[in-house]
Amino acid sequence: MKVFVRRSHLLVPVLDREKVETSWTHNADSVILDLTGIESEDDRSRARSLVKESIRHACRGGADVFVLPNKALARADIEASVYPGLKGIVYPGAETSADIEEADSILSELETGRGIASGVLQIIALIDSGTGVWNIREIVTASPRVCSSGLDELNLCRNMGIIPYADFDPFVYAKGRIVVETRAAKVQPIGISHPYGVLPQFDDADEIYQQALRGKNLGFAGAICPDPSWVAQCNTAFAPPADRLEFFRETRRLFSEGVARGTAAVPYPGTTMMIDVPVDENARVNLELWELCAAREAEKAKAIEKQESTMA
Amino acid sequence: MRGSVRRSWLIVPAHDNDRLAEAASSSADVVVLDLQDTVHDSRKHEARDNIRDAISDMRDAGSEVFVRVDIELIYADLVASVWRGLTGIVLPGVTNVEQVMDADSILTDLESQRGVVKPPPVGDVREADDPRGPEQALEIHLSLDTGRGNWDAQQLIKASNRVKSISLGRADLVMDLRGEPSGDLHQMEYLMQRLIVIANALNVEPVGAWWRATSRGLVAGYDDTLQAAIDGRMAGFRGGLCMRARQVKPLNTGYTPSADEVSHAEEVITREPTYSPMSGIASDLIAWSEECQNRNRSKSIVTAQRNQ
Amino acid sequence: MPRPVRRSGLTMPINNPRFVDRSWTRDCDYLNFDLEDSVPQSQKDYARSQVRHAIVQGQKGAAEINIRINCAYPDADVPAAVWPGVKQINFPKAETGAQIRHLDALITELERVRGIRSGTVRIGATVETTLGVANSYEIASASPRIDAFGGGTGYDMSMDMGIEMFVGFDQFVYNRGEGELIALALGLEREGGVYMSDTTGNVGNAELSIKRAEASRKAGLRTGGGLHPNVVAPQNLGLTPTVNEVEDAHRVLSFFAELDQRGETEGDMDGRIVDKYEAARAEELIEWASLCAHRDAEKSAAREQTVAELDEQN
Repeated sequence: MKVFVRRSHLLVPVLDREKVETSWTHNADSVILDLTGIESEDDRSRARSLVKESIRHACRGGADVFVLPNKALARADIEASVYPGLKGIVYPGAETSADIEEADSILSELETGRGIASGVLQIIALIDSGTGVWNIREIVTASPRVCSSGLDELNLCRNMGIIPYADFDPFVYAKGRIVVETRAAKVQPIGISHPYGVLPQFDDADEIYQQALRGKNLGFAGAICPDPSWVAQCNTAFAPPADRLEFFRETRRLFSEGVARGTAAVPYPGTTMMIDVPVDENARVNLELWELCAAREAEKAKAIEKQESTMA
Repeated sequence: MRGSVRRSWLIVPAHDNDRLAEAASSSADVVVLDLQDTVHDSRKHEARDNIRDAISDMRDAGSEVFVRVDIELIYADLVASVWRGLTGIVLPGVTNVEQVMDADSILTDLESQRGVVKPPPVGDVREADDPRGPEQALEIHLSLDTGRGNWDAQQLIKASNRVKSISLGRADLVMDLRGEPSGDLHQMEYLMQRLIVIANALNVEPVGAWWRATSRGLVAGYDDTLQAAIDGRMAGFRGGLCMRARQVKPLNTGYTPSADEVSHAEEVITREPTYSPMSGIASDLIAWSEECQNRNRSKSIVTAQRNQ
Repeated sequence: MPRPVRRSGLTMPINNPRFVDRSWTRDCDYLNFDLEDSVPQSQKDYARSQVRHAIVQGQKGAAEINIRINCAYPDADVPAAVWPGVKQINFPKAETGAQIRHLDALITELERVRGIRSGTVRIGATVETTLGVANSYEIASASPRIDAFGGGTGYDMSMDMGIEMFVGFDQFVYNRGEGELIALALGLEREGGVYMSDTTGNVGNAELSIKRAEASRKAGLRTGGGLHPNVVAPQNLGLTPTVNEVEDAHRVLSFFAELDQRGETEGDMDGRIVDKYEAARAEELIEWASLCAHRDAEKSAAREQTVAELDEQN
């Protein structure tokens, strides 16, 4: 899959119309329209009927729009969601490759039926069981549609009989496995650090940033944001650190000079650090990601501009 | 597999009558009569001879009974162990599926020859001679002591339907994982969380506690054991193994939700919508707390009967 | 074959004579001469031509000679690297079992042609990418030449995981766990260390090295290696059991022998439990200490001889 920037996935309940209508104003890279947690059948059908319009709202700021269906009602929920503007679906509680293959075939069918280019709809695989964690490799490789995967930590707690506490991270192994297997498959792992994965807080911007940064430093490429307060922090934390850009550029310059002189081990002046191939590569990767993030920001800004001009 | 309440699994050398007596009054949810590590080769006969009586003594004391066998002496050990009142066996150091299948088939033969079935839960009125169902097969607990056993855990668990629970056993000793400056045992966080994920994936119960360097092969003192149980419950265990009768109480306590936790859970249920995972977690906690109370009650009923 | 002693080892660009010619003075248990990332593309051919020179230099201090090849050019590098005197070929960024089997076949043929005893050149497979971690088991079990395994950390791994290193918490719990568990499952020496917070990334930090080596020794680990001469002595020291530990191990063994004689499996020695596991640890420690002592004697004898020869020449 082509490299993409999706640092923040803002989760919005479809029935909360105000949140849906303002979802595009938070500068999220992605918006997930949530069809879960609805108790009555009436509300459920009302929610489904609102998806098409909700997509229109959610993508006004240039966000990639996803829908999170109920696992048990996936087919009906997905049918209500596949309309132009949709980027893909979130698969809740994936456990095996068969789960993903089934979603893949529903999406293929709907793409054909609704005049959407074949194969463009993506799948974010959410894992909420030991089975899913154990089978993560077959899940992320089951379909080229799978773009990201992450833990649904609270439901994982429930299914594993774990009571979440702030001072104990029960998912060090699970997160490590998700990051490694997902990245090995060239798919993006998403998640945040403990305890915000199980006990999210919304009022301390700096702490949100720190948690997201820790998530990035565990290997995640972005996070699901249960609240708009997370979006800006995630966008910053999951991008390369701005204060290191100069260092990365200098690293690349010094290394290429060294290589020209016939050495691939170059001291970085004023430090004990040696620049060799991996250090140079790391600088290159970070600078490239920085460019991609800047391009994503420009895309979103353009969408907003377009909004404003049509409104005016 | 969420079945019986088994917060404490006390391992006792089967040849040692003092330790057996201590175990009978320890209030352990499970007593594991040991024929393996804690029994010297010269004492194996004595230990095997004790098993049949010890099973009924522990049963009378309100504990479920397992026997830990020596995988190299499995036939003789199982012949000595499969008697009425036994719930299952602990298979330590298993490294290939044939060993599990072998244990399974010896158990099947002995069950058939001796008419032995897994007894009903302690304190349950149902008699053991009710028509036999698959749920009455004697259980196997896999103690995945070795690197090979842990790596192949999935295949080993699948090798027999009798496998209902797994643990790292004495992995710290068998794999020689020692303490780090942080107080953690080297690699134990990885190994414990991995075990819990695999158990959940294969629907068996993970048994263990969050032991740290002070545990020294399951013989920690009261406070360290209590902490290991509290942390173990946060990690997803619901009961742990131990080697000393004094550890039973802290394990039972640590694995039972505290009154504060229960009242907090009640608040969560009134506050959160029923579909929220938080509400589900809270109601599971309350249900577990009730099961623990029931287990305590049944234990005291059984011991009261014995004392009469 | 006796258990190799690999407490310390420096990785250095083989095309840099400043490093190579002084390598024998460093007191390393092994030297890892690099054809890979520390050598620029334009110098790869020259680097390949330097292997036999490096072997001679390294052997002056009795270091075990390793050559790190490029994972992308095994067919060019292996024939340049496998010569008498080379004990191990290190294969970086290993990602599949097939890569290792191919390397094994190349080495097997060169052993035959160059008169090296069959099967004696080891393979060191280094896992440095997420795909490598995911395929660790097939990699580690792909050749009997692999006798040690672990890792899954470091700069390349960080890049593949998209993380910054040296941020003050353990980012590689899963990677290291998989590597060590696989080593244990396959009966290989465990490579790895005890995590210790390091927010500087200074590769020449002797103080941290000694702490880490001591912690690793106490946790049961036996191997080390690094990039900077400053860390060699700390690793040699930190990974060698102390005299007190050896004495204690002897006491444990005799205490356990008495227990065993009495038909007991466990006893209390000065407030500590002694059983067959403690006895096995004690035995391992005594054996390891003697291997370390032997290795140290070998290295200093070789260095003394080299110094004497140099004096004669002057």
